[in-house]
Amino acid sequence: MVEKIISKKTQKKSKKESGLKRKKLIANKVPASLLIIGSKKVKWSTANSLIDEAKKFFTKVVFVQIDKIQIQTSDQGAALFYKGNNLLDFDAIYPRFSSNDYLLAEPVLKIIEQSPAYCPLSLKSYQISNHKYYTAQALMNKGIPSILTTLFISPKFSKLAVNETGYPFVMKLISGFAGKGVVLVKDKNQMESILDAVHLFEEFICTQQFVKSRKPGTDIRCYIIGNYVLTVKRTSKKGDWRSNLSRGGSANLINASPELIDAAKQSAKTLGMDICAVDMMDKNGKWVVIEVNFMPGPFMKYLGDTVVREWVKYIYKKVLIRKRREQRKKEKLAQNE
Amino acid sequence: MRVLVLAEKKKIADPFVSALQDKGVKANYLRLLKVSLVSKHKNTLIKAVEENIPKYDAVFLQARLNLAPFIEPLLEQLKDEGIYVNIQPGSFFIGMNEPYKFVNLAVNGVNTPKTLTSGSGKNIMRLAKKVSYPLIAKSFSGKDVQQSMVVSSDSELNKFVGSIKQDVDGFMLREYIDECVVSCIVIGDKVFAIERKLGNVCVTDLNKGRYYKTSDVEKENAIKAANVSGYDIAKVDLVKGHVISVDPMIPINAFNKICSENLEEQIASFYVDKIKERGAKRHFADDLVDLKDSLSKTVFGRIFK
Repeated sequence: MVEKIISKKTQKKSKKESGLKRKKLIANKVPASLLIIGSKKVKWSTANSLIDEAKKFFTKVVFVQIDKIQIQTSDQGAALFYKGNNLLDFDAIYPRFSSNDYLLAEPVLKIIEQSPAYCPLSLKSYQISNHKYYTAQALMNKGIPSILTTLFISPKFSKLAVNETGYPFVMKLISGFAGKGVVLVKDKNQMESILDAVHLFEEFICTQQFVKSRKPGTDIRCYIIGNYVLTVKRTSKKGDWRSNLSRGGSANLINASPELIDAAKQSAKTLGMDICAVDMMDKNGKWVVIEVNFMPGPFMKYLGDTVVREWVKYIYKKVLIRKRREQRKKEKLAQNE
Repeated sequence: MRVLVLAEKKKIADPFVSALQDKGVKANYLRLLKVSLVSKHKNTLIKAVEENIPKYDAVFLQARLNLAPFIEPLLEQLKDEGIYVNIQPGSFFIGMNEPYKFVNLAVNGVNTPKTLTSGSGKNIMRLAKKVSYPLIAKSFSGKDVQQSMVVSSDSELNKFVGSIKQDVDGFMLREYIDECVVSCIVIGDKVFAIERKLGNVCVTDLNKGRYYKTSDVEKENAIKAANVSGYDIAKVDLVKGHVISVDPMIPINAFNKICSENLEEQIASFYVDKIKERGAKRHFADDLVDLKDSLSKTVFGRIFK
């Protein structure tokens, strides 16, 4: 298992190389437009960084929060508007939705899927990645190593699920976000008191086997950007068993093993995502997928604009490929005529 | 042929179980709460108390839409195991989210009333200018409807906006068509309908409605609405040919009484045809258990003992 932190010197060198390629791309800029749809609870530092970077590649960049969009349906079909402008008139659309945006995210993604614009994320990937159990099921059914996970409705029949995971286990509310709906259940007594409370709110319960990492409080996040993977090692703040940076901690770019990268790429492919982040951890010497993120944070505090730059560059390249393909089609048609 | 009727309550499932058994199908009821899903070692198991679900050829599912977070992975797994279900994966997500439901119908060419949705309350008055009064105004908290009312003027809409609580996730304005609702039950390519009309007055209670013969266009629209929403069997509500609701739960009693039909029998026939078309599963061990069970009720039972 290779897990080497990339030195600052190597980081600088690769940054310089990719910077040269980026400059070349920007210099030969083709007219292209990008719409970024942000969450209603947008993190402005990430949004501003995305907009700034996107302006370097795209000739037209529009950023709209999802709750400001108008969704219109009639006998003629469905459309998206913002201040009277048609939002489907873009070459690419990058949605950044959280689980809190559910009500509007599903119809918006459905309409985007019907439009000719390139979108790196699908409606199905949004539905699955925001559902802890559904993600584990989708991955395991494709043979991707993940953690034993169960889903049940009735606390009365929870024994069946606990027989599988054993104690301790992690209990998650299935729409939980940023680890807030997560509890570590150590024994039967604790579980019974939690289940009573959960039953009151009519929640669905997802339990996951508790896996002790070889290095507690650390995990790996793989940023998937098409075929390119940026791997980051995250360390939680002292005393927290979750290595979630929204709760504090640190992050470093690392060189990861090919197996880890393969599992991360496969996870993204299974869920139909060109851009996402796959969180993984070391279970008895093997990498397992913990979570796939639809709207990952770019860890700007630790990585600067590295991740954001790669996202924008990838979307731009995709648009270029599509434009060239369309151009070739047109030329062929003209020749035939 | 084996069919499992999966429902939240026995009384919902019983008529369907009996109808299937009358057709010679081995049908059983299982309470939905008894099912759990376990994903481990590169595969998924559907676990149920006292039941082996994968042995069934088909499942007839009757569940409320707000169970979507459990039903969706279950549907995906049943599909992977080659078990026919009257509901397709993805359909409960559609049904649970009203704006998504209307978008899905519209993009698939189903006639729907003009509908406008936005997350911001500031937009609502501007949105209203795009639809004519009267209209139905709804506010949502999460996916649940928080408030719903028919508004006929700007002042009524202002009142609606004023009455909305702060923690709202979205608003919907829908063209209100002032006609009686026609409720249809779609079973494959058959449609049974009730017009919610008593004398000349529209009624909300389905039991007070009357038999209605749908036109070819209405029939086609109802079937299309059910199918694009992912249902082979569903209740579809129409107003002047426009679809306003699609639901997987079938209120059989009202339809049986008013349409002089036996919908359980219609559904059982549909299932028999569906399984024949797909080919029934052969499980030698399960067949032996079934044979033992039926013989144990006869004089041969003693021999087995």
